[in-house]
Amino acid sequence: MKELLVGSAFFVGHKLLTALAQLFVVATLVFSIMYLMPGDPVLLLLGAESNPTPAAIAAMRAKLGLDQPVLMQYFAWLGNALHFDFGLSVLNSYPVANAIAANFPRTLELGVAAIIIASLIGVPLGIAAALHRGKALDTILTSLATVGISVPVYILGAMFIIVFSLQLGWLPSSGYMDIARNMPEHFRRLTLPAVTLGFGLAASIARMTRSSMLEILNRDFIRALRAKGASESRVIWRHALRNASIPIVTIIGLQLGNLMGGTVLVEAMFNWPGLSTLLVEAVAKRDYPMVQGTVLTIAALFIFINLGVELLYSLLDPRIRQRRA
Amino acid sequence: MAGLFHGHPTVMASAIILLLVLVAALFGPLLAPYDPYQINHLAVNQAGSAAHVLGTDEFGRDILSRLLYGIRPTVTVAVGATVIAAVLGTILGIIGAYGYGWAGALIMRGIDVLLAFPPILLALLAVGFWPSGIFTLMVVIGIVYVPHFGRVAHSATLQVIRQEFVQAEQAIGSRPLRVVFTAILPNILSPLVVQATLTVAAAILLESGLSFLGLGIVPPEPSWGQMIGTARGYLNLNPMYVVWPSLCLALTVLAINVIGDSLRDLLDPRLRQ
Amino acid sequence: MKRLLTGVAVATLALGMSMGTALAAGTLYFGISGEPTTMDPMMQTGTTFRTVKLGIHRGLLNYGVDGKLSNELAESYEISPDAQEITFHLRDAKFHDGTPVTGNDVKASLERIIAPDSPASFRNELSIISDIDVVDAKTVKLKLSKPSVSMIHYLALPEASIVPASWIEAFNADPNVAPIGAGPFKFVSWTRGQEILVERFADYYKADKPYLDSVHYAFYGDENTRVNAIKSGDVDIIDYVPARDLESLDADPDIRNERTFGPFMGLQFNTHFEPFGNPLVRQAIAYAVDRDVIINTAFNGVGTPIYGIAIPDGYMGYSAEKANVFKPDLAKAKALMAEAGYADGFTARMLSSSQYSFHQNTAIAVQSELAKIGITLTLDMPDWSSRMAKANVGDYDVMVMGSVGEITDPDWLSNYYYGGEQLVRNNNSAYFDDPTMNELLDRGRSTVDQAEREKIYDQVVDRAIELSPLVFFMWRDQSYSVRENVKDFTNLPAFLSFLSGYSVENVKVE
Repeated sequence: MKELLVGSAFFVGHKLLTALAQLFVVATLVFSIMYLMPGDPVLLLLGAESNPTPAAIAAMRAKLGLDQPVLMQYFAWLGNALHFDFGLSVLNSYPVANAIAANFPRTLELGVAAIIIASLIGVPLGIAAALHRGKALDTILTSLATVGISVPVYILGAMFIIVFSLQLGWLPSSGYMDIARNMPEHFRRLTLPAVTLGFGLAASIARMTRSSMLEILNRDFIRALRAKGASESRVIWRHALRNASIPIVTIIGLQLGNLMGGTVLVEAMFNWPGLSTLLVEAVAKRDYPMVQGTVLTIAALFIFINLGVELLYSLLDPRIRQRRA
Repeated sequence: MAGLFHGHPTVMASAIILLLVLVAALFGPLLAPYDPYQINHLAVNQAGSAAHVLGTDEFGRDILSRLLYGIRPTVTVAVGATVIAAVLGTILGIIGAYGYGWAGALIMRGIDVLLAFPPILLALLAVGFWPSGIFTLMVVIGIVYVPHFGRVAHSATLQVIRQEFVQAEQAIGSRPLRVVFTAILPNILSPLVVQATLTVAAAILLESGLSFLGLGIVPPEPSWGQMIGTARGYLNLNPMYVVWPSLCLALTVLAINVIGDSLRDLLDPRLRQ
Repeated sequence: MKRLLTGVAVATLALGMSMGTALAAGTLYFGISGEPTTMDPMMQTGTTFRTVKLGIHRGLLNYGVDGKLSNELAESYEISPDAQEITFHLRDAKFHDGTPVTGNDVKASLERIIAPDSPASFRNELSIISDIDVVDAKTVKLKLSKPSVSMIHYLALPEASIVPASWIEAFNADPNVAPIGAGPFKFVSWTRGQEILVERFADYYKADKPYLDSVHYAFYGDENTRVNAIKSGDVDIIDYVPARDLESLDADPDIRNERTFGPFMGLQFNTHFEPFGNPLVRQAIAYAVDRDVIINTAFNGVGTPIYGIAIPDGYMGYSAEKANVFKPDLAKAKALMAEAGYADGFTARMLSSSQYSFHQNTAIAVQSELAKIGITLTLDMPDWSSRMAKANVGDYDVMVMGSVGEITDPDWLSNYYYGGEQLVRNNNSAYFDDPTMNELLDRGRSTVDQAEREKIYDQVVDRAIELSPLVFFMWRDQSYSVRENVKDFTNLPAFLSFLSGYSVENVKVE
């Protein structure tokens, strides 16, 4: 027992350290990229339309600390980042951490909604395809799934907008409604972007569900259950599905990257004011602290969710469990 | 090769689509009915007609011609990026597999980090570096996919290295480079080819995504992604403007994915032997 | 019985209160095309921010809804005959923090702008204020180092708003401190990425105004989303309406477009780049470009061509005869090119930006047009921040210009045509410095006699046409879309369109 605990602790600890190391590398990379980029936020801040003098530009640069040696800036930034202080946005002197805190829940909401929708669509369709294997339904669903993972997210979005917004007028095509101002409208606005984002994921889940269901349905213990006379629905729902859930969780973990990448385009397409929107704008406006803070947040999210999935996976997988027992 | 197509109509169809794309890429300028840069300010935003089969865009330019010309930058970027990713990734992967102990492990760790990151985010940061254009996109997207090739090359090389004939070569003292070229490369080619097809598709998607965001191919040069991004503003006036490039892009990527899937099915069992 | 009476009383009170609320003019949602970067009124960091500024601040004067100067914090003023002294008599007004607006606040606000190291956007124009004398709490005398008839106009800009002296100190310590002004609405909150909320200032010096209880200035950077927002009723007004959406918005029975032609599109040149240093080449370009191509493609057919200098009808310097000098004439353009020694054309770099579709599309249209006279343009279209950076250091051969005059006084031309100390700025042609033009503009600024002034600006226009350091293409439509239940919002005419936020004090929502 003691060995088990120590073993687990080592396992988790090792993974955690790796994650932190990865985060550190990302942070350094991000910091260096931004400082090598051409373009200057200072002019934007001063309103270049009104011809700032070189003196005014230099003064502003000094005020923002942009004239310090790069290494000093790096360590200062790193130190602050450790307690979630990402500095002030170069553009409006507003704490970056606050902006991220405001936008992050909206991206999270979009992502979670997408995952829920994807699971609700993907799992049943995958099961249906598995149960009707080889027949017309299977072919249709499999083809649909292949389409789903191939079509880029912004094309899907454009098609949905044309059909559901412009032609049918059922759903609004963009804009964010504050949940406090109008809750039903808020969810109405969430629908198209979440479905667009979740579509590709649904396709992957469907494919994965189908293949793992097929594999499990052929296994001996299922046959044994059937021989014992267990009802078909009991076989499917209780046993096969439970065993298929592991790969599904894995898929979600694997597709996380795609999901996050997808938010960049979906947020742009539907003007959903999330974290990715913040990033794209910050890159365009050379808002160094904002870019660093946002990328670091996204990377941290990513790395730690992956970590969570890995740990969850090791917990769920009976083979690993058996090995330990 | 015939086994690839026989009895698989979808694969057949995909191959035909890709062939068409290739033909268009090579002969586009000859096939296009109009000059894709020709502005006709009296015929803007028109729907399909006899004169302009797919309609005109906001500058009165022929959409069909722009689609045909738009293949080139997309294909150039995709293929170029894949080549860059393949070469660099394979080199790194082989080095990593060959060991040199912790140096190899460090390289693979570094690759892991980049692999974790959504490609579009990496690309977003990097396109700010250089002036936009085909070359920048090729390099940026290529670098983004280096880790993917690295991983594949690494694990494939690890498998091959253990095999007897490689051990034999090393035993007789052949120079490492020779071993790589004669023994390793030919045997890791299969998974690399599969990865290449996937990368081409992904590169097309990434380039069009960047162009959609306005960070890719610069107008007035046409590119499918950029046309889709622009068409977004004209959904009211000319909805088909967005449909045509979308259809082309989706079909092409779909075709590549189908072929890639089949290739993987075909090649993988052989590797397991 | 007592309970019944109480109940009736309460019900009546409630009814009365709710009726009262219905009569009060409610809340306005104003969709603006971007998020301000600072709350400091003296910085002009984007025309969209001026809308918010004009809800919160007032100056000694402002431009009113009729496009003329209106006395705001200054109840009256006198300009000395030599135009070197202006005496302001302040009215009784309060700031949002309850303190009265005094001469000291005026002095502090203006001094802050003209300080030598001040980054204020109009420091240059206001820097000829040499002395500010606070005669008493309600009287301020400005002395100018050079005579200027135009100064009174520059003081009407929202960037010359008057703020409390105490606020300036607070702001210097913390740039996130809430803005305080003397305008109709007081600042409540700034939700980053979403909106700025302001509420009615009960002690506004115009007794019955404003009518609205509160205004939400919501940020909609994406033009498609902005248009959708007003169609769906998320917002009541939007600015920067894309030309291609004007028709569908007009067709909507719940929406009207308040339109004016304000800004102009054209080209600025780097006169150090060989061919563009030659006035003949610039004139050739003016003759070569078919304005309709730009209007139909980049602006969906919405726009008015300019074949001369971009002076609106009714402004000093406007002349109907000179308005058609550069009617497209390809033959003449080619002849001019040949005369300048460029019969075979040349290559040049054109700077624009991919961030605004109308900017980018103008560049594409111009590129196609100039190919006709042998000029091959390569397009450089980075994001707006890079574009401004390049413009500010002259990193271009030719640049798409989309701009507007700041004031209705003809001295707005100085920003575009004067040489001065900074030869590379955002609105002029880099390194353009013509002594004749400089002298004319100096005289025009300081001449008091109207008739004399008109003659001088006539000469300015002639010189501008002759040298064509700037080529103008068209007037750009500048619209606000307004929902029908919103009353009395005015799109200020011509150059003043971006100052329309001023009229929010008149707005009622039904």
